[in-house]
Amino acid sequence: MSNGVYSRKILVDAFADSIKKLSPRHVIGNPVMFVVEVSFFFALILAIGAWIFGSSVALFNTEISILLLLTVWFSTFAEALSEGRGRAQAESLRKTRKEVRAQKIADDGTITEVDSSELVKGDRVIVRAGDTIPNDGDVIKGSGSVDESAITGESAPVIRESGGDFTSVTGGTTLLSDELLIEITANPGESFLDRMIALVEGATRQKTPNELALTTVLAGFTWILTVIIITFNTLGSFLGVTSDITVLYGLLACLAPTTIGGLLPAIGIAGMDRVTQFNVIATSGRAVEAAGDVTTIILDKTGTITIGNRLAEEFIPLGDKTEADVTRASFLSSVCDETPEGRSIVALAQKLIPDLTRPDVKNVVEFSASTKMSGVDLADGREVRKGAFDVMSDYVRYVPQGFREVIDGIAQRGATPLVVSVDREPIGVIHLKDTVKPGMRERLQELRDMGIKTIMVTGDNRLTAATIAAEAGVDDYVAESKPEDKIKIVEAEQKQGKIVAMTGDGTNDAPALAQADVGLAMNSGTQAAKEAANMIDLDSDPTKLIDVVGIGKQLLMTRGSITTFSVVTDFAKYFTILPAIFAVALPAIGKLDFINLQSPHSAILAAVIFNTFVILALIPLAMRGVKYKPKDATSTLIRNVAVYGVGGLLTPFIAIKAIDLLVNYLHLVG
Amino acid sequence: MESVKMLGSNGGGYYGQNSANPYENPTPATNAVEILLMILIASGFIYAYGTMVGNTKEGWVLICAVLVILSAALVINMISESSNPALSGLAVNQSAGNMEGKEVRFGDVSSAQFGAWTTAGAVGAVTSMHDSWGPWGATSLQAMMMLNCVFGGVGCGMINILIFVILSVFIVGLMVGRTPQYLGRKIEGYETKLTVFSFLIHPFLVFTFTTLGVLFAASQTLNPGFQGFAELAYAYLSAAANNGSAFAGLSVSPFLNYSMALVFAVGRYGTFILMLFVAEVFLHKKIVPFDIGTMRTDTWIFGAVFIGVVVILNLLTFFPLLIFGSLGQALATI
Repeated sequence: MSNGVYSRKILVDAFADSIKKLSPRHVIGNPVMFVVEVSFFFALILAIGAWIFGSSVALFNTEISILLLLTVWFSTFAEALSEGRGRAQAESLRKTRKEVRAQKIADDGTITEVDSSELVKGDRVIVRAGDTIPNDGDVIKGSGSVDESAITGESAPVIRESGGDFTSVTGGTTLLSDELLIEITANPGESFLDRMIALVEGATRQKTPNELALTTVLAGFTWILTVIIITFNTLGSFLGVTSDITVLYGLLACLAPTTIGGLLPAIGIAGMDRVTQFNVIATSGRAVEAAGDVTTIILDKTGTITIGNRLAEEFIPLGDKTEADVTRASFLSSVCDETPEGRSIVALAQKLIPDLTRPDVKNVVEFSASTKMSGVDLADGREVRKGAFDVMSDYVRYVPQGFREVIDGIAQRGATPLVVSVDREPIGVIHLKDTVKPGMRERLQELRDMGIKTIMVTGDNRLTAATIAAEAGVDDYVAESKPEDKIKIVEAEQKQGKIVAMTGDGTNDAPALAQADVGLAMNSGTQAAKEAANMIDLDSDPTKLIDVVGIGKQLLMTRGSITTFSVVTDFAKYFTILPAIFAVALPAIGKLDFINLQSPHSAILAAVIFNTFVILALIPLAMRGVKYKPKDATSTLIRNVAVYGVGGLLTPFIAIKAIDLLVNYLHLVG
Repeated sequence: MESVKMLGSNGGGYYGQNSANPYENPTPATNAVEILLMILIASGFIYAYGTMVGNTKEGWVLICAVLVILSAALVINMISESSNPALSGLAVNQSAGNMEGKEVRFGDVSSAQFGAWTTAGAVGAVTSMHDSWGPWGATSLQAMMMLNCVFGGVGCGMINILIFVILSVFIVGLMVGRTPQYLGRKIEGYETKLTVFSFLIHPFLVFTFTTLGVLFAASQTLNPGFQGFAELAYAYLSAAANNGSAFAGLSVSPFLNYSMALVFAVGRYGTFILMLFVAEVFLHKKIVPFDIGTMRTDTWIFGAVFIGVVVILNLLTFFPLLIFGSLGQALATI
């Protein structure tokens, strides 16, 4: 997908597909385009008639009917193009869904080899290192590293094991090590991959509620304009003027909201495509639309707002020790500590004292849950340890002056103190800090500017939570919460009328994910979480929720902007076509044509050409979405009204004038 | 009697000359009072609406928006009636304005104002013969009845305003990046459908019945050409907007009587019934709290958007009707 949005293949496929979509049976789903297509058929008959009888309007009639057909075609092309992009993504997914042989294990323990397509829910299979996992399932025994790059594009393997939150495996991924006993959780054709393929292909795509409502409005406008066109000549007969019927078809196509009517399906599909390009799979267009409406976002602290690993911030000496002492001691305590915390301590120490060298280590003391400390025994006999405050205060020989104050000071700032000792003598304290992700504060500020409330959820104590909350700039936080509490938070917000979005990966997140209006599950999470959510992030990056909200907003904005543009451009079309119709019979009305078009026929042609090609010109905008900046409603409204409202008022006058000049230059009117 | 006629936007006078009759409306001062009475309740409704939804600004924005539209009509009317283009080449003193069909007690300015208020407010009382107005003035009179929401009649004006508010919020509201919501209520498919139908009833009736009028009652008009067309169009516009004022220039026929009665009934009650359903739906909707990401409907920006939507949607639908009638005639004068 990375090699360009409009790759050659996609364009060629879209071209073929758009011709197929011209079938009235397909077009009838789009009332505006259906009216244009019906007009085309009538105009075509008139054009053929004109050629047979050698009428002078034969060329003009043909031109109008071709333009009407082009109008519908550009619309189906836009739709096909947006679907094509989805299809290309589906294609790459489909490649991973290959037929494999699976080792099915029966209740009595006998193993038979079957095709993966024969596996049904509840079957158990054995997968060995190097095998492709035949279908979605849960690991019930064993643990192993799985290469999920086929789905996520992430090359680092992930650990899948029985019990806990990492039991779910996806069909099409490859087991790299060990052996897993898997219980299949999907029937053939219903796997996660199958569903994703169907979704991105748009095969199961249904119109979203807002799209349906907008279609109704557009159908209503088209309907009344059809009434006006039908009554037009009878009304005109009072004055003794009637218009050429073909011109009326052209007028109808111009006045009907063809621009938005033509691009509406494409805008919706393109919105889903943009989500997919973020490597997020939305189970429905409705979910993307709901994302635009979100007013509350619930974010996990660890891993979403913060990096998730506590990092060394500073070294504080105790008693008569100096900062250099504690820096050296901390360095020694962590040289063999490969955890992110340990590495950050080494890094900070080396930054403060660049010439630190690795000592000779006799014995490494790993961290364990019972001792709650780690360290090294050096070759020179020194015992260097670091650990939590409570165990270390028992371990050290004495408690120095000001010990408690230092510990409390760090805790009050929401950070974690680690005490370092050498030979049971307390040297100092390491200030470990959970760091807010870079750029997170700005992103949360953007959300606030859009009127979205952010709630941080964490299992940490109130103090830590408050500190991180203040640092990241979230509106609210819930401390000491268990995953099960999330659903209560979601429900409480929804009771106030809020539209809630959240992320989750564990099985106990599932109820809350289902309850939230937008639930984004991590692909690394459990099957239950993925089934409950209406979006799945293949990269398992919870901050993407913010991007998804942006895409939802942009989708709605694009829809509104093109609708406004479409309706407003009619103003100019009235001022060009009506005077042209009456130019001869009622010269007075010709005065409305203040942009001085060359001749009645060229004026009408110019307006219809504009109306047709504006759809083609706006396809990139429909695909990409309007320019989107996270801002409050009022400034967004002013900006979009200025660009698409006022722009829609002026553009057609200029464009129609230019086309009129071109039409005459090329002698397109007889 | 007179105050009931004006306050209730009823407009049916006791005398045939209506408010031009000295017993109904003796002096320019009473004329001013009548104008005030015409929109007193209709504008009061908008204000009351603002207080009912708990934010008087919601009402004021709409009052200001319709006043802007009305001012445009007032200006057009006064310029139009200040002279008669048909007499411009002749040795006639026009310093008093276009006085054909007007009451000398009121003169051109006051008559022009009365005309604007009576068509805008769906009152239908008259102090002058609208058929004798200049074409620009006649255009503006009809435009006010097309909009049917520039204050509008008592009650129905408010309903029409709300139709356009909902359409404005729906079309423009999407541009802020949320699905449209008005007063904390999401505007969804069902109520959109009903609102669009209510909006369409008015132009549908006017177009189909003016067409039938052209087919079956063309001989009933007293004038040919633009003026005659305007006489027919005005009649059905006035009926559909249940304005009740007459342009005059039509002779009575059973077809005209019955068709107008039908247009009148459907035009009034069709809209009422559909919008009552919308009200019912809105009543049961969950309320989404307001935040800065919500499109505000109590600001001047929304007022401007509202004016834009009202003008463009009506222009889109009614333009041909004006072109065949008074606007066409007006263009002929320049």
